[in-house]
Amino acid sequence: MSIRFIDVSFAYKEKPVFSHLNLEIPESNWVAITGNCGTGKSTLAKLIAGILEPDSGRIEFPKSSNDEIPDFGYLFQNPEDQFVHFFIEREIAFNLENQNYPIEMMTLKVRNSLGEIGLSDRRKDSPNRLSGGEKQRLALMGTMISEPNYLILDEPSSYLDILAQNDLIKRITALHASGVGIFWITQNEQEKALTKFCIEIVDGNAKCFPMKGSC
Amino acid sequence: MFSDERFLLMCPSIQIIAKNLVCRYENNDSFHLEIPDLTQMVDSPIGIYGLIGSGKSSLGQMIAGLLQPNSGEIRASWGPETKSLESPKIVYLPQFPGKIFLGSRVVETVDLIAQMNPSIPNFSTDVRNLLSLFSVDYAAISERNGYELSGGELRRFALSLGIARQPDLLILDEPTIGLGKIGRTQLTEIAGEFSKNHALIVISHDFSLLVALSKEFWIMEQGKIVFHGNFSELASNFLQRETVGLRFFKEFTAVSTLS
Repeated sequence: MSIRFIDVSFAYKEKPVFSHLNLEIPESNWVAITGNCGTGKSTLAKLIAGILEPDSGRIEFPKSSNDEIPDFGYLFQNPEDQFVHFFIEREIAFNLENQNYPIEMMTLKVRNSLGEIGLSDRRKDSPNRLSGGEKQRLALMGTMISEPNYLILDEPSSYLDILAQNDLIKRITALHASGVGIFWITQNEQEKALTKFCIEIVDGNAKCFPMKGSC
Repeated sequence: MFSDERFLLMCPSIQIIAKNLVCRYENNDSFHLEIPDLTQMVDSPIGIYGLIGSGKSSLGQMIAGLLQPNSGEIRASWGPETKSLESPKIVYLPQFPGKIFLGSRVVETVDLIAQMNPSIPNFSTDVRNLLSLFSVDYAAISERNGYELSGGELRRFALSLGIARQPDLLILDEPTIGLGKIGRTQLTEIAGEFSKNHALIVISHDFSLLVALSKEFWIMEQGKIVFHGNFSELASNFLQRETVGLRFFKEFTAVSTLS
């Protein structure tokens, strides 16, 4: 089973990004999305997540046993684009609220998550007061907390220091091992080497191929 | 593009002076930024390094005058050898580059900044040329809105705007975010060239970038500058300081081995 782009075209106003793109991406894998500046990496990821819709063509997803399309968690490249609340704890809780989590369970998950990213003492503070790295960790936690089937991460380590980068890789490795599909937009060769497949975008065309050494 | 006649004639230099500086954050009792006493000439590029939340950006913003301390002072001024009636022009490029947009489209932002800087008659041309050095075609992005640029294009545009303003002191806050390998190489070359005639401070969690660009290093931890000195002093002394050395040990030794 795979995610399939079938004859997909997409343009921003008159600027075409993809024209009649056909692409097959293996299901529930750890996939890097790479390409030079402005080639459409984030656009491709937003099309997969359903944030953008194709101008023509369609994207097919493997359906689960109960015939539902998978949930996607999307981490924006700029963590400030992610925030919708004035308080850090409400930001973390946002996705859980949308999924109608029971209040006791939500409170516990939010408390634990804040502790994991070192923001327990600042739960009543605004996300806008955080440093760049803290913002990215908050946005990432807010994306992961609802346990989506797929995580789409747009350069998730760009604001992180070396310790936080290592922590991120550990978390994503564990999530992937538990069956979560990962799309990781990156321009970093070391991060690319962690993945099983790579989608490379060149001149409006995208190809998906297995990474060397992966099974 | 980077030469400035004032510099060639006057050989000016920038100094940063901090005294009894304390900066606290609302709703955050566990952290404050503190610099008791510091005088530093910016004769060569300074690299400010630290982990997440160590106070790097706050310090950069205070040097630029964009953030006021609760007590004490910090300022960037001309050095004692420089006689000038004008204050030095300081440009701080934030780590979130979308903040530099004044108009909604690229061309509007360039035109507005050009109007605000009448002393730079070739501002628009300089922006185009700088973007070209970053492999971005100005004509291709000029009509786009800020949100229509990719992260890499946005970063390159912000860097080009900041450098084209010809500041006496340029402060780059996490300038590699959104840049790939090619972009990082271009940034190192362009900022390196700029720093030959202008003062430069680079704030980054990317230690290899700082090693490539800087001669002087400030290491920050929990709101304090725990080390300042050149690379050889850092190599010989920094690791001796157990309180901070252990936390940075792996990254520092990796870079030292490569250099």
